[in-house]
Amino acid sequence: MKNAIYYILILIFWSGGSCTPLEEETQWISQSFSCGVLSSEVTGYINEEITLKVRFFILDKEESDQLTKRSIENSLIIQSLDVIGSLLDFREVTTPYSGNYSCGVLIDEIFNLYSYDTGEKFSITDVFLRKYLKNAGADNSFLISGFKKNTPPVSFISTGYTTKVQELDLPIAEILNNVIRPTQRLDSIPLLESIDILLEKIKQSAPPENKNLLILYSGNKYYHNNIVKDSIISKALREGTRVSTIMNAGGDYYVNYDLNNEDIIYKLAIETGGLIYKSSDYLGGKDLYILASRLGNIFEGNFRCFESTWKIVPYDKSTDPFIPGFFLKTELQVELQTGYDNNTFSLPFGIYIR
Amino acid sequence: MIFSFVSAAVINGQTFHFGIQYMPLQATRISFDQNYIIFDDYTALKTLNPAFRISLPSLSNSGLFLRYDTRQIALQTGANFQNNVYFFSEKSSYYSPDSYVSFFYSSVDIPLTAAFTLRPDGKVKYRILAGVNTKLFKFKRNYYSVFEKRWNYFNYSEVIASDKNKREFMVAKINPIMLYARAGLGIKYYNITADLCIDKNLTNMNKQVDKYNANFVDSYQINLILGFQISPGDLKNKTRELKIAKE
Repeated sequence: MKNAIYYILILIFWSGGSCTPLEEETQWISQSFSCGVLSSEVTGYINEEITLKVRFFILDKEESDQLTKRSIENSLIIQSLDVIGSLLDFREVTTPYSGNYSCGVLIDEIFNLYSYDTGEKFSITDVFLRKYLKNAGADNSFLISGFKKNTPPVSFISTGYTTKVQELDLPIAEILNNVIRPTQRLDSIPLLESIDILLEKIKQSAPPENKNLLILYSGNKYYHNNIVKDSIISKALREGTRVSTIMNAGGDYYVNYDLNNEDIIYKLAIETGGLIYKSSDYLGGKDLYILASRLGNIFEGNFRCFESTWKIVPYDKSTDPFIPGFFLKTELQVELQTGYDNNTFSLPFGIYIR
Repeated sequence: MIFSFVSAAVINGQTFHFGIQYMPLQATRISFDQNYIIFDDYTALKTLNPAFRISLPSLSNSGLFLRYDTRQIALQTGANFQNNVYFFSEKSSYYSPDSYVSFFYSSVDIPLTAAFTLRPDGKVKYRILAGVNTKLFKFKRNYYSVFEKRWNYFNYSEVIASDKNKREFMVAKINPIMLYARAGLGIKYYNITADLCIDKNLTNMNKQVDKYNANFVDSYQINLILGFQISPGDLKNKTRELKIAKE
């Protein structure tokens, strides 16, 4: 009898430890898009009219690009307090293939956003960068750096360009997860000096073809820049470096877009043919993850995108005249179906008459 | 097989004892060669400073033992279903305070230990144990897994999915065959033993060493092991011997 009780006890203990595999749980993926402007070019202008060509991309979560041209065409708008746009032409185009590329990444360490999307706090930038590098293709080379309020302001996590992206995994985690976010004097972080330092580094050590500089910019105010803005643009153009910028959508209490900083970022992108992207999903950052897996394709070329041609006219008489040097930040709006709703996505870009 | 072996042992002589054992309390300590672990969902977690952290692993932590007893030395082996719980990181959450992140897996442990009895004639016998423990297999499930599905409300499904991915990633790194050194102290009171044993890995804990990610270095496990002898024990034997002497 006593032994029987023991054997029953054994059975009870063992019943808890059944060794069946865990059931697969379907992971929740929200309906999300990643949209940005690849390039904007003023193809002609007269006093009160600009002809503008804007190339943009829309990536969906499935990466299938099943969006119909017609549904997008009907929802496109360029409208701001300064200008009104009328769509003249809309088509799908494929960008020319540029081949392998190099990319120097400059991380504004304040850009390091945290996601609470799944209840768990983790760095969006960390995930974005790692996902981008892993999906970038084997023969492309990368240089990762961060800028912050330090001397020198830029710190490199590798000695030079590398094609072995796994080598960057741990240093990226170190650089982004050890950031102590400054609570004061954010404006003293020298953004433009940092861009200048990286352009110099690219000049010295990047492979000669298809050079890119990707700035992950927080959008914070950075006033103290002892650098002439136009010299950065000249340097980028001289070295044939395409400068692209990815910005977060804001949300932190101290984020306050500074016109001077954004102007230079926009102009750099327009002049060098780089993309401008602003995250539209601050909390989740899922749009950045979609972009991360396709950013390599964008840099390599042979990338399918949309091309829209616009007639831009002034909204009223207060708009600056359309003469060389005219610069305006504006947005291209597109309506997309997200789940059961339609949402308007705003794609920031700049109109610049050289 | 174990049962047939045990039955044979019992029939052949009373120096062999068998029984069940249960491990209700566990403390583990794990260390890594890097400060961060990179997961395949592209996230990274900072590794915890190595320290012993206590867990109540599972009711499933149980098994059978077979012991050969002499007056001062006992040799013991067996087979246990063992949950191994390791705290490896800390996470911040929007919904709750910061908490440790753990992974667990279950293995079949086959210990082989020698116990030296310090007071062989006393009612309470003190034991010093030394030996090895082999961990075989890795199962993803333990007792608590049964309850996970019930937490499926609000955002918890995603929390669990995320945790589960990380946990499975860590478990996948574990070597399914490992040898541990074991040392311990314990007491024996008639048919019951209570031993506190510490295990330390002797073999590589990593299934595959990843040059670009964190790898396990040292793993320690302290277990409270309660043994319940089913075969006739010392008290019964002594009573029987006394009866024979009287006759």
